[in-house]
Parts: sequence; C-alpha cells; structure tokens
Amino acid sequence: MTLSEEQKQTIKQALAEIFEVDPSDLRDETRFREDLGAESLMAIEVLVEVERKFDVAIKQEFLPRMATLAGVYEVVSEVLAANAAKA
Amino acid sequence: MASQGARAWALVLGASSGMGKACVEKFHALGLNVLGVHFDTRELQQEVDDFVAGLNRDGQRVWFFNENAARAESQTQMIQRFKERLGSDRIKVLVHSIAFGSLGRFIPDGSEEVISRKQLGMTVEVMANTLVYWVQELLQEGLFAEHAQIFALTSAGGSRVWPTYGAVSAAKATLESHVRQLALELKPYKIAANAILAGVTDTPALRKIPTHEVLVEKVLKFTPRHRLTETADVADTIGYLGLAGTSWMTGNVIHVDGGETILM
Repeated sequence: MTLSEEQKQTIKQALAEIFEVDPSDLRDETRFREDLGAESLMAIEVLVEVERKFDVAIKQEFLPRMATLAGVYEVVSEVLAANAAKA
Repeated sequence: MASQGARAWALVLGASSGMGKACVEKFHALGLNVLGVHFDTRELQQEVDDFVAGLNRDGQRVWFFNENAARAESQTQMIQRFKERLGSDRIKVLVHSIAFGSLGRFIPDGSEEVISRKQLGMTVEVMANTLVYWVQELLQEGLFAEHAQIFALTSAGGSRVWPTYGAVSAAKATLESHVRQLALELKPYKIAANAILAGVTDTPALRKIPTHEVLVEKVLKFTPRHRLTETADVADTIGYLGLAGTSWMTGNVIHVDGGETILM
C-alpha cells in the first residue's frame, strides 16, 4: 500500500514536532539519530505517535527500520496493508 | 490542601511495570485512588489495560494515562486532567519510578557502543530532572495534600559503578540530590521527599543491564536472606510510609534492600 501525500504530511508534521525541527528540514533520507541527534525515547515517541495518528499497532521490533522518514513511511505502509488484508 | 472528607490519591510516574506497577497495586489495596502515568506502545497497551481493568473490577479507583511524562506539554496537559479528576481531593503520595535511560560506555573500548551527548542528557533529564518538574507544577496547581510524601526510586548505582551504567548512575545520583533539595524547599509546605534505594530487583529495567546476571548471583550469595529484592518489598515500604501522618522524615535515601548495601 502506497501512502498518500496527505498521510506522508501527517507523519512528517508529527515527527517534526517530536524532533523540534521545521517540517521542511525533514527529508526522506534524514537519519533521526545521526542527523537530528534523536535518542531512544524519541524513537518510542515516533512509534507511539504514528500508532495514534493511524490507529494501528506497530511492534517494537520495527523500531530499527524507523530510523529515517522513508523508513517510517515504509513501516506504516506495510502495517496498513497488513491490516487491510486482514479486514 | 485537602478539605475534610477528601479522598487520598496516589500519583505514580512510571506505573506500568516494575516498582511503579507494584506501588499501584499496593495503593489500590490500601484504599487510595490512583493516577498512573506510563508510556507504552500498543503492543503492551492491552496488558496495561487488563491490569487496570482488574483493579477497577470493584469500582473505578485507578486511572492510567499513556503519555510521555518527560514532555513538558504532556505533563501540563495531564496535570490539568488530574485537577478535573481530583476536584477537591489532593495527592497524598507521589512516586517517581521512571526508568527510561541509555546504557553505554563513556570511553570506547571497541566492544560496546559509546554513549552520546544526547543519550546522556536524556537519561538524566528523564530519570531525574522530571521529578523536579512534576513537583514544581503539582505544587503550583495546589494538588498536594498536607503531609504529602514524595518517593523517588533510586538504586545502588547512585553511588557505585557498573559497566555501561554510567548515564543511569549519574541520573540516580542526580535524583538523590534533587530529593534532598526538594526536602529542604518543601519543608514550609509540610511535604516530605525521600529516595527509596531498592536492592537488586528482577524488573524489565534490570534485565536490560548487560551482565546483570553477575549482580544477581552476588546478591543471592551474600545478602542475609539469599534472595533478590521483590517489587512488593518496595511497594509495601512505600505504602506504609506514604500514609504516615507526618512529613518529618524527609531528605533521606532509604534502603529497602534486605541488607544488600551493608554486605556488598
């Protein structure tokens, strides 16, 4: 399932608030830890915020893949697709 | 301060596991209403919901909030919600049991990840400084009862070393310092602040420490009763002290460790 531009914007906006940066500073390949200095609590915040925005459950084992915006898009897309398949 | 006939409340920060969870159970058993703050993903939420539902089977007295207690905006929003929930009631016991920090070496040796500036700062901020921020705002909002008791969970790491535990050690030492300072500054409000130094306890936080098995082995061998501290040992102590009608005992680091400190 490919995310819509609106869904991507929702994620970008939420993450920008967590990292306290301007959304325009977040590129798909921006590395949260190396480029933004994110620490482990922020990683959990990203996961929880995305769960809430999309009303989904994301296993913590996905966290290592959610290290960039593109990675978050990918995981959310997969989880939404899996949920759609179950429905 | 609380009016006549007001109900006693406990607020537990870090309420969904380990010491915090045991304190929630204890306070509930003692007849207090409980506010719990935890921060968990949905993977763990069902377990937390079941825990709270179990306690509320005989009428709702426990409310949990799944928010990041270390975020200033979340803290303010939660405290406003607490105010609505409490009405004229006040908080008798505050327990700070937030265990979210980073483990890692300060000096690289090629085998372990070195802790970053952000990780070190976050660990002290979350595990220690949040105590001050929460107490400041709860006090400002007038939510503490007279003779309220504040307990902060510390560990032997506050004064001792363990590989990769440096950031958490710093946080615990800071937390104990914050407790002393709060004890001094809260005296006019008749609010006590003490740190509880639990012995080695089998909690999710312990299991994240590399080579924790060595610690466990030492405790089992050398402590007088040859067992680990259990979360219930800590909760029983906090429950007992929390309902004390005096705030005279304040500014201490209270060891709840079965004698571990004197022997190891």
